[in-house]
Amino acid sequence: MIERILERREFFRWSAASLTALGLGSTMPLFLRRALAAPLASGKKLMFIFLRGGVDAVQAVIPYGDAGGGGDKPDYLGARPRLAVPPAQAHDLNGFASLNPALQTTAPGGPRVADIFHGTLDGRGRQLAILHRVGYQQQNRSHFNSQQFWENAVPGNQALEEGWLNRYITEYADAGNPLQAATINGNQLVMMKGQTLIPVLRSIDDFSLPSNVELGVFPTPANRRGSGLKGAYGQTGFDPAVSYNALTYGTGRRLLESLQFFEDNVRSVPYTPAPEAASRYAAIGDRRFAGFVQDCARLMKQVGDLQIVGCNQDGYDTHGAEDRRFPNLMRDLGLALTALYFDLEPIWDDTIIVTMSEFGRTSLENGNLGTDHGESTCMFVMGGPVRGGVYNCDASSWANGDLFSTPNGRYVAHRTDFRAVYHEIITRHLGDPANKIDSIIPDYSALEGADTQGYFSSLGFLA
Amino acid sequence: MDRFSRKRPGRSRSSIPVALAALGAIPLVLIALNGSAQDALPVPEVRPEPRQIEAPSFRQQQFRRGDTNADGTVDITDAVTGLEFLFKKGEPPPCMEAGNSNGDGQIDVSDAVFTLSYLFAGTRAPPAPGPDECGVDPRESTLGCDEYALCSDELALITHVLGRITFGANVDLLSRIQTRRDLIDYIEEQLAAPSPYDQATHEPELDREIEALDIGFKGDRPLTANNQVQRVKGMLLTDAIESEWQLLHVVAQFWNNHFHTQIDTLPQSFFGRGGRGGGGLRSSRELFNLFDTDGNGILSESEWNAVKAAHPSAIRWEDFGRGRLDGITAEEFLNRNQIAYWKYRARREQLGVAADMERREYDFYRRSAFGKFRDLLEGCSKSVAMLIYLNGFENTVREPNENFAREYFELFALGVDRVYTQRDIEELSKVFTGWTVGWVRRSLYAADDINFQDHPEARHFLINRREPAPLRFPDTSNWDDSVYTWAFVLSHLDRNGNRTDQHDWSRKDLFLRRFGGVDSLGNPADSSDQLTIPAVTTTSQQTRQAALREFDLVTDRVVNFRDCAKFISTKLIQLFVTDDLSLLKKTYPMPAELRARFDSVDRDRNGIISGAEWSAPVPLVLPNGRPPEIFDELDADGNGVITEREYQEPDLLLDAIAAWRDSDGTIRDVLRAILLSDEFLSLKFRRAKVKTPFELVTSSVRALDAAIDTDALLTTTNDLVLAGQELFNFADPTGESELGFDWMHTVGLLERLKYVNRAANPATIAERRVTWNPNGLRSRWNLTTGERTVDFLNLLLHSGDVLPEQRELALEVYGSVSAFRRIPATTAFLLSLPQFQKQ
Repeated sequence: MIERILERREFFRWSAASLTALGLGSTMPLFLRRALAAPLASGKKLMFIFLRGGVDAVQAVIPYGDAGGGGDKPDYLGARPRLAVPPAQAHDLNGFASLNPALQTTAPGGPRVADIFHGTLDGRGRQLAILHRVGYQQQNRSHFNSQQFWENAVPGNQALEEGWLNRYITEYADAGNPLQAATINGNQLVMMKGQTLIPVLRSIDDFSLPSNVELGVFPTPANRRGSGLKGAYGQTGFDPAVSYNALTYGTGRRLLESLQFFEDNVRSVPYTPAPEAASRYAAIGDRRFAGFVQDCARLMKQVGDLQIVGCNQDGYDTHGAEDRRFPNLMRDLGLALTALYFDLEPIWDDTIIVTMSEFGRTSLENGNLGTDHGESTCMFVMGGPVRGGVYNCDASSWANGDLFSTPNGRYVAHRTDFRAVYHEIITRHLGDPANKIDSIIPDYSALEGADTQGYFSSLGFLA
Repeated sequence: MDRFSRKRPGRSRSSIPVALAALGAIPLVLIALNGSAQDALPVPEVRPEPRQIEAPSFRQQQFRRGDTNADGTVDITDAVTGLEFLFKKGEPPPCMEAGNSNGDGQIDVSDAVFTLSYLFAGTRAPPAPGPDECGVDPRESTLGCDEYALCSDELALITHVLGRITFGANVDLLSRIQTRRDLIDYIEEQLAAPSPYDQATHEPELDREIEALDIGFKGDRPLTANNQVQRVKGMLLTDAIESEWQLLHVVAQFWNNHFHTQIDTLPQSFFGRGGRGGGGLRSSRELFNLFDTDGNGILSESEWNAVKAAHPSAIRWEDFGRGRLDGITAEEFLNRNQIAYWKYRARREQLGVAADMERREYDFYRRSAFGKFRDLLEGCSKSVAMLIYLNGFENTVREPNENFAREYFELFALGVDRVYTQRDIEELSKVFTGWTVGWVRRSLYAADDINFQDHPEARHFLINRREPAPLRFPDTSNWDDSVYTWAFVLSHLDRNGNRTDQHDWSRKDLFLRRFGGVDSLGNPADSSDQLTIPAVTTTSQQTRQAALREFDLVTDRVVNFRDCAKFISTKLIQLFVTDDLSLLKKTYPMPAELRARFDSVDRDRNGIISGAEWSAPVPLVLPNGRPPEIFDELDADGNGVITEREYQEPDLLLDAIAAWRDSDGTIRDVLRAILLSDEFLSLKFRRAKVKTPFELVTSSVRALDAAIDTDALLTTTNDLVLAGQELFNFADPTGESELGFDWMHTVGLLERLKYVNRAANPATIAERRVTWNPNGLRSRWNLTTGERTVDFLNLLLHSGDVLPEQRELALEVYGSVSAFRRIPATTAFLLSLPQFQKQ
């Protein structure tokens, strides 16, 4: 059962200066209320892949159309004399931007992201949106901070360890749903942390206890002891004032009921990925990532009520050797997206897959065949409800020299706040019938109302 | 025994029960006299009524000597009680040893005389523990002490402290530390650990065990042991489980994580660049001759492109030459990457080198754990693993890389966005230009400064000039890893004194007010914070000493920032006391320096900083006012103003910062301020932290007094990974979290439960993680019944903290398995409890 038992204070990170960081500041009192669960929206599904380390957005989706701004603002090829992908190798998207070659190959079993983009893979049409220049104001260039902001959706607040997706699940808790959301990872992600305990598992196959351990039964009013581990973790006699007591007992309960659920409902059901998907899962070089992606797909297909699932792809912090590392990352991502495209076909109309990353990178290459932390980044959004296309990277939205459009002239400035992307996903896909958006993305309405730059304007990548 | 002395018959020390104090919110645990008496005393059903369990004898009852009637004071009635017991067949004293006033091992008339003499003639006081303070008999008592209600056992406090300053309590420590005084003595003893700590000298047996893990290269021969990454992790586990100097190792491992480097990235960064030019079976000289098709001794671009056509993985021409593309000599061909490549060709071997680097780095933190923070910061900056991990080794004037400079400020010294700005990062990265890694004769380095000094002679062995002319590659005369090692060097002059200067000699400005950096309280830099390092334009002054002095200037400034003391003190408080510093008390008056800062913002002096005051521009420095996110952090209740109380820092933090300043940043002194504080030495934060998976493993192994063989040790490091703890392989330079919510999630808990079951009660031989002796435990502690077993383990593992229902469940487990499984299964169940996940 989805239960919301934790106190907010369990999810604050205590930094040196943030000694008393329980409050979020006067502008955000909304956290103090505990919303009643609203009715669940329709059976829409979301899968995310967080590209950890800061994806080099202009290397992934290359703005060849930027002819440079003169002086110290060269074009892409000039900015990256050693790293640049020759235009002939990249895959044109819209006459302005092109896709990194590692995301697309015509070889059998390879990544086919350009084909997905152009709608030429099968009859599904153009259902991949590429969102360029996504970020936020006062971009933070620390991995830790910027990931935190992308995940808690409150830029500037390093302390809040509560994710926007957890808030969505909390607001739209489906009381009868045994698995409304899950993370496939070795650790819980901030995006999924919060008042609702969302199970995280490394792999479906490993999600069980040794054979000689008794799960037992949870205590009930009639049997207040229960039995086995469920009895131990189901007790309520602990002191809730002691830090992490509620979290520890709650996690145990969530774990033990999830183990039971997976035993009864997931592992017992055979799963065979679509053939076009299976070969691509198998071809992903980062085997851990491959397992994560495949398990996400399996859960989405096998658990009808699962709403949100996601994982990481690691390794994007390409300060050096990007010439060798980045193509591998792109290839793995391209294989994953292509595999998901085939594997999720049965639920495609209700599904979107979105990638995100904490920042882009410097437009100039550095001395080590790499790039350093930058500003805006790009996102891929794919699925049945998606209006395919390139957003924020065409002649109308990208001026010459925009590769260096931040005030310091080093990075690509953002045009769209990442929260506007989240907003679109929530309101147009997952559903927000009870209008909880300002709880899920704190202060969203106010931010949108005060925005004069168009950062919060909807891109319209979802129908 | 003379006829005027009496002893209670049939009692031995090993069956002396104790009375335990209230354990926080957990019910009192009172102890009956023995098994039969236990049967006579009903077990109350309703909490918080006490229930009776038989305690193991690793805890002793405390008492006051001379207080024969156990009423809390030594007075004439005690003498009377003793005499009545002796001569009028009165009730035996509840605590016989208390009646042994003169400490001679028996109760007789001399005790009454001794007490009266002490009271009325002012003669010698009763010996230890004495008449005033609770304590235990320091000697082997034959009389015992069954009950002394006014002296409670401080087991809860003791296990709380041991849970934080060690890698887990065990029977030995819980036997040895009986009183609060013992506990403080133990803390002091641990604080007095050798510094610098040299394991070979101070714990030679442990050193041999670590040596036996076979980490890295041993001399000039191929790597002998596989799984090098697991081996360095196993080193941490071994140290943690076995060292006598527990606190030192807690702190050493804290530093190793604070200054984290990721082992898996080292081969890729260090050996991966270039170095893939050939098939690998011929000597490089032969290869060079092969590639130099026209035989003119210079490899040209077209010749190289022919090589690359045949070997597509070879580096590109322009990368090879780095701007010197007119041709490559044979010597240049054997550049640093080539040599590293040829020497450690396989990834397995490269990981062996990386493991050796990690081991030396950890050894440094272990040596210096209690020393000055400045030294630790310098050691981190000059550590080979760090130089490689954060790209410092390739940060040069022509190709600057700011990666390490950023983390120096953000992660290692000050915290995110404290004092420094992006501009400072760029300036600092210039200071570090030219720092790199060389292949250096080990004998040039003292053991304890292997990470430190750029030895003057080290330049002879720069890695891109290692092979002396004429080339004898792959002659292995200089290859021996026991003779040479990778070490920090400043890339400055080559062995012939020719300049290879990679250092940026331009002017560096740091912490200028106009950069706009603010401290943790939102204040702009003081003008006294500013640091300018002038340009060095005269070649003769561009010496290695001058380059290294730049680092000293910056580091001396940085460690004197209040935010440095605050940052490190905060992390240490989180390590030992509480994740959440807002729970610490604030009773001190605001220190003058904080007061001055507060008043500088609170311009109307009404004792409250308003949003308007906060956001008022600071001319020429902060045109948009102070950062709003710091306001939000300080405004704890979110009501839109910052009060003095919100601005004030906790007492413990202020004490730690004061200790830092008094001791010039000596960690031992900061630790003493924290560990001997009232707040730490109380039950306030008992079990308020979540154990990391590592701590779960070490505390389990220590509690069970178990042994781990090497195979199991390596497997256990994999268990830790599955539970979410990567140790040396953690992916971010932040190091792994100390905060509980990062460790408590379903996947981590699942793996913990798996581990404790595999350790204590494996289902199969293959699952076994440790070797321990349940039968020995049973016979030593007489664990012949379910109750005795559960209650013993409850005290050992939980200091009596198990809920009544959980105790019943444990009894159920005990009763549900075959006899030889009883202790293992019960232990595994109790190790699985939520309480054991915390410390």
